[in-house]
Amino acid sequence: MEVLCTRQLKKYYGTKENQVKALDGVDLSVKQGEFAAIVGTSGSGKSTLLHMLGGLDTPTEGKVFIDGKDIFSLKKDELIIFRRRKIGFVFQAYNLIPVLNVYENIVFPLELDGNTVDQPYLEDVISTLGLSEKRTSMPNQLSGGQQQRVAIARALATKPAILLADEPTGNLDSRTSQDVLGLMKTIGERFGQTMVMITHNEEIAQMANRILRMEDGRLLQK
Amino acid sequence: MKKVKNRQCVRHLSYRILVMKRKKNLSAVLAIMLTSILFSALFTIGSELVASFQASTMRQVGGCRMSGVKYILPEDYEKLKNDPAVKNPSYRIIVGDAVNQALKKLSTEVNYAQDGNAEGMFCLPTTGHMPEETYEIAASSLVLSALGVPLRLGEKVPLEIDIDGKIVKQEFTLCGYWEGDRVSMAQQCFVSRKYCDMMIPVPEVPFYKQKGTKYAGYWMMDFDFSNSFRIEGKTKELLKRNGYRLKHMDYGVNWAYVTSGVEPEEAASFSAVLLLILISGYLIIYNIFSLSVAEDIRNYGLYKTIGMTGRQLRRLVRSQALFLSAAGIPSGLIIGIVGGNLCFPFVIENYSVSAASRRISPVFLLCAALFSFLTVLLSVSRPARLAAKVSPVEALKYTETSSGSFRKKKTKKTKRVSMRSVGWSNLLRNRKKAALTVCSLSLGLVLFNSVYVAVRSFSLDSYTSQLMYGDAVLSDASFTNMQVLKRNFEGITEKVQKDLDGMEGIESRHNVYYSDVSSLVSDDAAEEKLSAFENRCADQFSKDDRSWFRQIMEGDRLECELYGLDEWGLEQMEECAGEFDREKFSSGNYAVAGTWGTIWGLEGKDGIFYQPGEKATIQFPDGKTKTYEIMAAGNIPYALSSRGFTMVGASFFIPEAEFKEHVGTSAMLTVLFTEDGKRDTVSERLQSYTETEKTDLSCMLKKTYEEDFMKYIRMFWVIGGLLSLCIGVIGMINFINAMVMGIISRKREFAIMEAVGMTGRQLKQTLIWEGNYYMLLTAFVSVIFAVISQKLLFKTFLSEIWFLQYHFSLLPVLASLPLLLVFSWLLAEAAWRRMGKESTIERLREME
Repeated sequence: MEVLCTRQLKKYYGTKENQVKALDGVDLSVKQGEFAAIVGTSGSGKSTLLHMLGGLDTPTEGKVFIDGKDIFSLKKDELIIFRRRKIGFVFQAYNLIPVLNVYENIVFPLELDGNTVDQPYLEDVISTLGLSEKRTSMPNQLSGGQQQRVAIARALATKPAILLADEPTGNLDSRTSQDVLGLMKTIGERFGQTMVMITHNEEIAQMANRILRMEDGRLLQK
Repeated sequence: MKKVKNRQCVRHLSYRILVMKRKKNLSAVLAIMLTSILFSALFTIGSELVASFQASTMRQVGGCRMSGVKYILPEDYEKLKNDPAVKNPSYRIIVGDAVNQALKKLSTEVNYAQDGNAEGMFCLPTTGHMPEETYEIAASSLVLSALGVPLRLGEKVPLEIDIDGKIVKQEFTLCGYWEGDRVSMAQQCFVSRKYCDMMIPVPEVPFYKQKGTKYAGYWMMDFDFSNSFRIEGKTKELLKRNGYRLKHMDYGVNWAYVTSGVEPEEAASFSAVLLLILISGYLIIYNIFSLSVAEDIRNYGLYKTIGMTGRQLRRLVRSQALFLSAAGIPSGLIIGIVGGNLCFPFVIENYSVSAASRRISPVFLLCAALFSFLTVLLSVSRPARLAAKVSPVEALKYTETSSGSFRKKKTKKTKRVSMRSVGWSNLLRNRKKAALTVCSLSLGLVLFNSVYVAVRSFSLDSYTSQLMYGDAVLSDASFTNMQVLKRNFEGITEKVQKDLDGMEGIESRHNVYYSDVSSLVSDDAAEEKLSAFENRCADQFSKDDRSWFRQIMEGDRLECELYGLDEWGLEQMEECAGEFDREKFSSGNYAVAGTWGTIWGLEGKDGIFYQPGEKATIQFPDGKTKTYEIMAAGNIPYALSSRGFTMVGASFFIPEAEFKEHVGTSAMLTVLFTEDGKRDTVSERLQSYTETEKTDLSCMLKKTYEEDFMKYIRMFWVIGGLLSLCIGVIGMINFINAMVMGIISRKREFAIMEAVGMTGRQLKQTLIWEGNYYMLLTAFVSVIFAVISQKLLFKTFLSEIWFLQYHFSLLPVLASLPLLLVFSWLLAEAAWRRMGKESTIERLREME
């Protein structure tokens, strides 16, 4: 089943001679349970693509479907609510809320939605990510790898249709990167989680079950 | 959209954010606190004023119960008493009026009253008790002293009571008394229930059904409602509900609760101050919150990426404000109330009311809290919208520079970079913030300037000249007491004059003589005068006025005022028509006519009844007449006049000698001038003279007026000074906030500058220059607004005050400028020192 699909996605900046084509007609399809990695050099448009997929940025042209829903047909607040229910984000800079502890950070998107927590599932996620000991720690007491694992747990808390990761290991050393990625892979298999990750690191990309390459705003299918 | 329970988590997050930024919140809490201090002080003073007015109105009315039903039967009382709306019911039974000769000037009622009823009329005995035995009586001290009864329990009190036309003489025994209040409209004597039952049969028919008008035996019921809103309507409803027809019942509401006694001008200045506080509160709270939002904008973007909606973000900012208000408002209220209470005596001493009640109404407290909260909500609404609008991607790039609209410069001149220019461009980075800070600082300065100008413009001379002339004025005590019906205009007898002339230290003394006289006007002449008068003021002078006027002039005479003036008195006169010739005047055949008719809007010449050149025949009190030729028209100052108020009437001025010859040698008042340096001793001498030797005289001293005046000035200083101080402090906090936030948000930038070779000294200089520019802008704005506000203030508000001589001034603004510069310099120094503790690399890293 197709979870994510884009049709002729374009994002242009500027006009005429100055025009920059950050995305130039991307057609992408990701199936249920797939772990896809998008690789490209800096400036290839991979970050822009990820922002589009998550509805953080609006395209000049084209459409993005998640779970069969055209996300840009939604109103602003509807999109935000759709995002917090269907899409999980993991950023390079972790982006944890510094004033909340680990557990609160993880359940925050759920609480924003007014939902009750699926405790067994959450416990499973927390222990899988090795955070059981750290649930009351504050973000600034954690190492980079630990913070990123909290971010992943947060992204998974709402059982999203898709998890989008933006250079999730960009701030981590290679050893920790391997650990984190290993965990992501485990999660993908264990919870059947669909994931799209962007990275410029070929080695990291190898961990995924499908690798796509971006160049000058176009996707080169492999 | 599905309604979801997510407020809890937003509130939780906002609480955590606040706890984390404890230090930064201090300025916000302080600002909210100051705002609520100002509001609650204002409301405290306002409510106390209203309460004091209310208390003094109650004293006049003679009761504190909200409503009353009059002339009812005992069964009516029983019925109404049990209505659930009625609180504190009590009754008294009418017996009659005390009509002893000695009580002629004191209207005195005789009633039986329940203790609660007496208490509600402020007439519960403070010494002794309410009557119990048949011939016991409790009375007001005023009644007792008028009757010549010593204030001692057990004394005999002989009373003549008019019971519906029948005079009953009875000697009572005094069982209790209280301090009578002259202000109240009637004095009370309470007899026992036994006496009442013995003398007065219980009426059989309702009051409205009886043939004659008998009052004795009817009951008067007083009661309260649970609150004082709409008491008249509630009284009517009460009567209807209990099956009465309104036209059959006589009821009255206590107008102390209906009219607040607040004048429109006071209400206007109250609202003006309210608005001022609202604005200055808005300026600072808005500034603090928008800075805080700008600072946290990345976080807001982050919240959005993980699924917070705009509404939730708005709520996040708002609930932070809520938490801060919860800390700031209550503490502000307490400080404000205490402060307001301390200031209140300075306000109250300028009003002729007693500061009787010192309770603060919870309604006013609530108002103060509401206004403070409203200010916070208003101030926070824009920053909250800003936070809600943040786009998650943009937020990652947000820095302070991008707040507000970008000003696109077409070209930028390349010039040498100096510390000064860097400071200036730093200030211009966020124009809105700079403008708000400058406004907020200016507000306090402009206010302070206005207070200073107002106080300096109050002129002691013009204040006293309206009230009195000379250093002291003596007259009969009744002359200055407007409540006395028959005023004595002959208090300064020859004996008194001799006494005064014997006193040391008096340089000169001038008498003003006065007498009520009639001028004889034939019917034709009167008709002619009236017509002429009508022509001059056709629009104000109605048919009714004319016929009324004719009525007054019945018997061909017109009530007039006659003054005798000496040389000095004549000099004080303001002439408005004709030619005054001193020599001719002193011959005694001429008079000056006074103007009148101001009541119909006629000023000066138009208001003269007798035109110069006409003849007027005056009939003196002894019945003799003399005809004078009118030489000129003019008036003497109010302070020298009889202070009477006649709707119709003319006044004449004749020489002192002439007055003495035809009327008498006793003067209405005498004006004393003391020798240099002797004023205080003479004042003291005069005071003891009027207090011990001639107790029927009263003495007005310039000294007392001067003291009154100083009190007035002091009130302005205290209230105005405190208000401008508070608003000034708000401005300062705003400035500190602007500078410190500017420094914090540019910490990394400073670090970069340092890394590329800017020295700490240079950095500090840019900060100092930035502060200097703030202050210069503030001075510029303040001067402009100080000029405008002075002109406006004096044109509209203060022009009503007669003892004001406007002096333009900008001194306070200019004088505070150096202080502000020093302050901004110290602030820059302190900020730089703190920053210097961290190494460049630490600061560079911190913002990663």
